[in-house]
Amino acid sequence: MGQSTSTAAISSRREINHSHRPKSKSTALICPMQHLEDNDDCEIIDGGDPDYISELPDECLAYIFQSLNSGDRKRCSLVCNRWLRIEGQSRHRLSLNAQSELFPLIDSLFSRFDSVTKLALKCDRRSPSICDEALVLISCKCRNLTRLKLRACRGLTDAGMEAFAKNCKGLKKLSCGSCTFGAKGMNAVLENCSSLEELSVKRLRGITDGAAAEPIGPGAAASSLKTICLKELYNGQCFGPLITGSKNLKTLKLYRCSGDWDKLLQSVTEHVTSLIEIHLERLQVSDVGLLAISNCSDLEILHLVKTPECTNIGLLSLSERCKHLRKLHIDGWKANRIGDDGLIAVSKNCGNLQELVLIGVNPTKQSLESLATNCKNLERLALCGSDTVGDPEISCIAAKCIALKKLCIKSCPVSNQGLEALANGCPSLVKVKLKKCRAVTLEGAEWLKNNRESLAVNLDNGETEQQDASASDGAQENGGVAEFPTPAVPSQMAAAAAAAVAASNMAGSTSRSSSMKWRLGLLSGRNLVACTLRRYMSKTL
Amino acid sequence: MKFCTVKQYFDDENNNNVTNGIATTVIPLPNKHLKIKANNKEMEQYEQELLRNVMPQELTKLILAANYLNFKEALDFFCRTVANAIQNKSVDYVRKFFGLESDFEPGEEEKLCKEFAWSFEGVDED
Repeated sequence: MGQSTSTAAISSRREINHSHRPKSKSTALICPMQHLEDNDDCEIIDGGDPDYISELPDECLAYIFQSLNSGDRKRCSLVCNRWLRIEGQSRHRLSLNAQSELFPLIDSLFSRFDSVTKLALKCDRRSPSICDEALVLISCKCRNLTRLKLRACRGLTDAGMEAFAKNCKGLKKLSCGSCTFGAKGMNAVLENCSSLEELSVKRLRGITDGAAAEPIGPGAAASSLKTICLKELYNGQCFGPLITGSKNLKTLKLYRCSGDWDKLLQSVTEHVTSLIEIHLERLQVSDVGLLAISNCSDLEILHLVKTPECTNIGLLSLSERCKHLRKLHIDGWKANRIGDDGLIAVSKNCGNLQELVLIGVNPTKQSLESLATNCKNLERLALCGSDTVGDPEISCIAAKCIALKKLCIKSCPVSNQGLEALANGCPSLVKVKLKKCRAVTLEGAEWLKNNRESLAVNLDNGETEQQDASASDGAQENGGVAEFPTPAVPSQMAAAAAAAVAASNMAGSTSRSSSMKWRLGLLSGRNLVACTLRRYMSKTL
Repeated sequence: MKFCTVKQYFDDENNNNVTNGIATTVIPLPNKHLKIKANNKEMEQYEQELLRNVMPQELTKLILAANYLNFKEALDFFCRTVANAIQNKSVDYVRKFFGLESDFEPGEEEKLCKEFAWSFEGVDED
């Protein structure tokens, strides 16, 4: 709408509002207050001020801003002084580049944005980040902070975290990734923030190795903590007392943390039985750990990803005691330690199962039938990288899974013929996704679409998948033959030098196992292609 | 329950907050809402129509009316419509859309832009 410059002249009102009306050159009007005559076709109440937006109370304007994204809000704030003020005061969520250059701007930034409750401070790995002084200043200005996200703020030390925590005692959620403070700083947060509900820690470099590591305890947050997530920690075991002491913990997620977790899970589940959701990925955990977890009889969600020490036996013992299991994800890493036996046990014990994702696991008709028959609420099923899932297995699913709404098949020996079964089976089916199944062609997908119109069919034959395989797990997974994971692999994580481990196993934040990627895509109910998947996934977690 | 204010409005003759014209648009809304609540596409179409036929001033009047009548759904709807109208638009466009004038000091706007440009990232998801 490039008409006159904004400050010099005000355009006629008529031409602003209707794009089909001819746009005349701006006439030099004196001020908006005197402009009245054009509004014939709209009701004017008292022929007064035509600038109605000024009549809107501040709260209404703020309400409009709420529907806008950050960029739009920024533009609105530049409209006029009133908008600048209201936008700033109604902004509760802020995301800042936390480079060291931010420091001199903190005063004015937080005078303008004086109601921030959710703050993200993100630096990149090449630039120096803000230091303690900056964080303390921010904490003085944002006393009501409820959420803080820190990324690569390597300038922050234990002292800074402590000072911050003392100012922001109402903190509910802390997420820090690639920071370098240590146990002291972590403990300071836990001591001061007694309402802390969610703690997520990834790659905390300041936690020293070995026995000298200061244990991290729940502090004042022992009853408030509901979610703990630990990723890529060399010395994650020092968080043991924290987990064990969080008596109301509902969600525990452990990804790629070194050390033996069986013992720790045993001690955790002796004290904490309230867990509802557990994710274990690339951990040294075995059936002993699974048995420990089975103490949590309210468990509803379990993810076992690339934990080859977990076998059918462990899954069986878990299913016998965790009968409320709703969502189960297993990435067996093609190790064949978990298969029909474990799945049949789950089907018999966990009648509430709604969602099942199997990657690198080889179920046969035996377990699929049992699941279909016994889990009457099974709504979402995903099978990936299974050598045993072919057309007969699809037919079995089609015939027996009455409640199934969403089905995803990836890298399985399914062909167009298998699709035929889906045309008439699975009466509740709403969406089916087929990915990298070489024997499934566009024709087959089209045929299915035409023969079952209410069904959304998504076929992805993987042209965009190039980055996918290589990005995951240091190129171990190629959708076909994977390196056979020996038990030595997890311990390698602990033994290897930092650089080597970082390069191979603990890849950067944008890489995950491709299984996680599309699984997230599936479960979010979107039809995502690989690139969007990665983008989506790198934003979550 | 929703319309206690409406009753009050009709009782109170000296009411300057809501014109007749606006009232005729706002009050039938709940029925319209109920009818098209389930269907998002229809809502979008209705929104588009509203945008085309109603000038910004009227939209803001509608917001005021909905606010006064304590009618949350209408308020949500109108505010969202306004937001959609100014989404991804330049500062100039937004000013003209509402007939506003910049009251910043010369150079202040630029200074604000520069000061905060690099400090912002995109929307921060939870």
